[in-house]
Amino acid sequence: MVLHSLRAGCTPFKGRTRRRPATNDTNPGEHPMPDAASATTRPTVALFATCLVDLFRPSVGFASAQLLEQAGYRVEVPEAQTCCGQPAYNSGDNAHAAAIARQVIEAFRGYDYVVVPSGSCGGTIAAHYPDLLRHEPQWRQAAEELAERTWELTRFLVEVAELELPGVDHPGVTTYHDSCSGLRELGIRSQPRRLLGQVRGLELREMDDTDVCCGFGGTFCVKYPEISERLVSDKVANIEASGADMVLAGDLGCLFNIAGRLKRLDKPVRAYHVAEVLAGTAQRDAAIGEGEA
Amino acid sequence: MSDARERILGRIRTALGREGPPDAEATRSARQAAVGDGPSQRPEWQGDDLARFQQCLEAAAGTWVAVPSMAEVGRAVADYLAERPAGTAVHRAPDPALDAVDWPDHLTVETARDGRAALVGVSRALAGMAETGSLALASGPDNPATLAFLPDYHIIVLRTADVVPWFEDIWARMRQTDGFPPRSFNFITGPSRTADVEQTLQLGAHGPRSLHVVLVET
Amino acid sequence: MESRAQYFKPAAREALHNPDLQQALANVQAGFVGKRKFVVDRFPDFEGLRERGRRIKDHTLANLDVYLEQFEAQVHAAGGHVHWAGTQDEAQKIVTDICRQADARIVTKGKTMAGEEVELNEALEAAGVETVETDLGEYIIQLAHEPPSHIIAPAIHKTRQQISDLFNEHHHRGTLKDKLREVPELVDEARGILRQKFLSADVGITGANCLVAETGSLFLVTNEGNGDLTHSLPRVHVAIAGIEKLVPTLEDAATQLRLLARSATGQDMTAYTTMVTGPRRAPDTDGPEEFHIVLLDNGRTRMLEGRFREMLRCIRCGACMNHCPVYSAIGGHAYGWVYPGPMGSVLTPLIVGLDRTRDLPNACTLNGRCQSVCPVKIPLPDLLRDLREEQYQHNLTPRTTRWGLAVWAWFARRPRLYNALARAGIGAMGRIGRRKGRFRHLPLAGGWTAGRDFPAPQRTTFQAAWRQQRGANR
Repeated sequence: MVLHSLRAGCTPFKGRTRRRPATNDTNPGEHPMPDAASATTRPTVALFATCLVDLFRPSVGFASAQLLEQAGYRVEVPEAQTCCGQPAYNSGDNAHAAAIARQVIEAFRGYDYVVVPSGSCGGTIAAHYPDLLRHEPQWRQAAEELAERTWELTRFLVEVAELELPGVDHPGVTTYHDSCSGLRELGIRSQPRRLLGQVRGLELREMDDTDVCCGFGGTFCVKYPEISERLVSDKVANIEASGADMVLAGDLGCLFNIAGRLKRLDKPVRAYHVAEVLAGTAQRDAAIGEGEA
Repeated sequence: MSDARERILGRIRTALGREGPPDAEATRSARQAAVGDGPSQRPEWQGDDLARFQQCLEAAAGTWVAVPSMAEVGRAVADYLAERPAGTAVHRAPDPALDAVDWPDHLTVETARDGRAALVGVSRALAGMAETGSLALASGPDNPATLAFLPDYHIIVLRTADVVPWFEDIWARMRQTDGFPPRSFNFITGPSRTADVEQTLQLGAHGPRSLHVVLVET
Repeated sequence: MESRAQYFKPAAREALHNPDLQQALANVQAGFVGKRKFVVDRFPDFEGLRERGRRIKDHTLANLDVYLEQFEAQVHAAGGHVHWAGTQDEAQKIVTDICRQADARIVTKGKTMAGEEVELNEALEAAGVETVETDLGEYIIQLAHEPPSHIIAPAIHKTRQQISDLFNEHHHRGTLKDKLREVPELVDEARGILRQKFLSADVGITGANCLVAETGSLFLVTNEGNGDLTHSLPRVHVAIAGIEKLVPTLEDAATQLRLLARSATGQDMTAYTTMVTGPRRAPDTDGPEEFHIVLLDNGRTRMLEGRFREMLRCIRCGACMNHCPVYSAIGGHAYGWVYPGPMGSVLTPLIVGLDRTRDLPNACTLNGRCQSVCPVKIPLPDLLRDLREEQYQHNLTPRTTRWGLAVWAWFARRPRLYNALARAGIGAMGRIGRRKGRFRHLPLAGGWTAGRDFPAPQRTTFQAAWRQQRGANR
């Protein structure tokens, strides 16, 4: 997969040096850095909030921005972002998906890093854009260059930012669902757990089959609702069996699916995006699918 | 029929974009380039090959006993059968290596051309493969293939010197042997089994219900 | 068998509500997944082995004509016959002709997925030949008149009670009183009946787990020993195999065998791994007098040409279906043809046709667990996505989906408009749902809300809130 080969050659950010060498002018991905003049602050991170966070859970976007700022980055939210195009891409509508991909490439041009609080959308950009745009060499190159700069949130916090959480408390027993794209396309597994290990009072208890799909699958869950419901029921049973009172994940799609099933079954287990716990905002905000107090 | 042959090969050549006739020699060196020179990744173990062989054989529900010479094989077979409802009739393979076996008098030993009448079959393995505890048997007049599959009790005689580490060693050895490949070259790893009823393991599906190896120390 | 993949949805629904099937499927996870993990974890470099397996198959496919001709020459040298079958009809004719010439009354069969693919049993029965499946799982489903539901455990969907009932009906004419029987008893009964068939069969038909160009050999991998009794006892041995089953050398076969047993059943090696080369030699005292191999195309050369060539690496281990959450939920029959699960969802549309298999590429969450365990690293999710693209291009995607995507994409490409509309819509939705935090019903989302609540959004969109707090940047 393109992503891994690119990542393999990429040195993690240490200190304040710029890491991207200038290349030829014809590269559509090559633009000046927004903060190229500033050598003393950490670079700017563009946050790609994802459509689900934008529409349904802004608190995840704010929590992500807060974590990045705690790590010393300046955070921008480019306005021209909507969706990564995955619904079209996974439906075989590659023309629309490519059009949206080109828009995302344009919107995030020039940033040192693009951080996404989702393994699924991050995977689409980092693992699939280059293939999606394979017939357009200029765009393909730009897509590869974007892929190199694009990071899933928890992986970025651990491997690039090397973030030490300032005293965050969240007492209780938690279990973690590995979202499939994050796990298999981006190698996200240890990073969120490492960060959660810094949260005081939080006990992480692994459920069975933590790496098995929750049944969301984007449009799958509405095209095949009965199969999807079976999968999420199995997931919820594993969550319950773990004895946790909270379930976390790095993808809002999985979390909406899991929380939706938990609520339908009147289960007391609360669901949050991992960023909300790491930023300490989960203590304040209602869990996914729960009413405001 | 040859029509279909030309059609299929033609479609393959079109799909592969072949322009001229393929070059077999170039293909072989292309394999080398694609796959590499070194051997396949394979199991590794501490300690000697014989111990590994025995351990893997046991893990596959096979049993074994070691005897100091080929002559002693007969006693070992008799001891094995004495503990089982297997009778005293033994069908041995014609393999000349087994001619040196000293069969106890109470056993009825018959040299078998196949396994059709055998409840107890005795064959000789050409090699033992330590990586999986498998026995390698070559079919032929010396060791009829069906003698390894029809009996309820299959006993295999193996010289400890014939235990080799890996598949690759078996192939290297066998390529030196006249008449290789035989019609049927069998790797046997434990007795017959099935898990087709509710994933429950049951020994003795169609072939032998038990597999016993007599190791002849050499 | 005739494909019934067009009935995927109703079949899947029925499967989800079939308690016997659900009970049987519960065994799949426990049986296969854990065992595979155990043997793979203790193998020193399984990743390296997978990569080697992938390279061997890619190289072979890129030189398939060379290796097929080499294989053919070696089979001839060993005294065997090679037949080429482009289609199902050709394959059926070749095999029935061989049986007719051998004056066959009884044919025993080892498990062959290629044989299932071309409906060999039906053709043989039509030719008046008694055809007996000898793999215990295949035998069970033959009694039940059902297709296999798994490529290596064909009767995995059957419970012990159902098998007891089948044996009672077929072996005892329904006379047994104590109907639920123990596994050893069932296995032994089948052994006794099938042993007679083995000994009286005129022709034995097997598949092949791989073909070796170097020696003109085929490998048969079984645990029961039925494959060996099938090819060793009758006068004629016929094997049928897809042309993609080739590997160049014995060393390459060893690599594949190391991958196969571990991936399929979680064994280091199956009880019987057999290399068959030609018919009995002159001095041999047993074994068949004739050996035939049928090399089957049936759509494979078409796959060789384009991006689906990678699917031809498949060694039919079943690991993808064992690890597939959808397969685990609905079993194999819902997929409607001989190959279920992820590999079937790619293969069936390619062999049977895109238009009759519309659900198969879509009934997958693209979670990628199949790819992560595939011994030859087939990118199954990518291939499924490619098939979706083909469906889209051939206008096979439902019109509502196409229309919905077009509308959504139109907005998604106009960020200002999109953001403004999103803010308004989400604001309204949030006001309605905020108190309870979720919706039990939602217009146009009946699929979702049938079994799940839909979490309510927060007060506004992230973009709107961010810009309100931070002011506009960029």
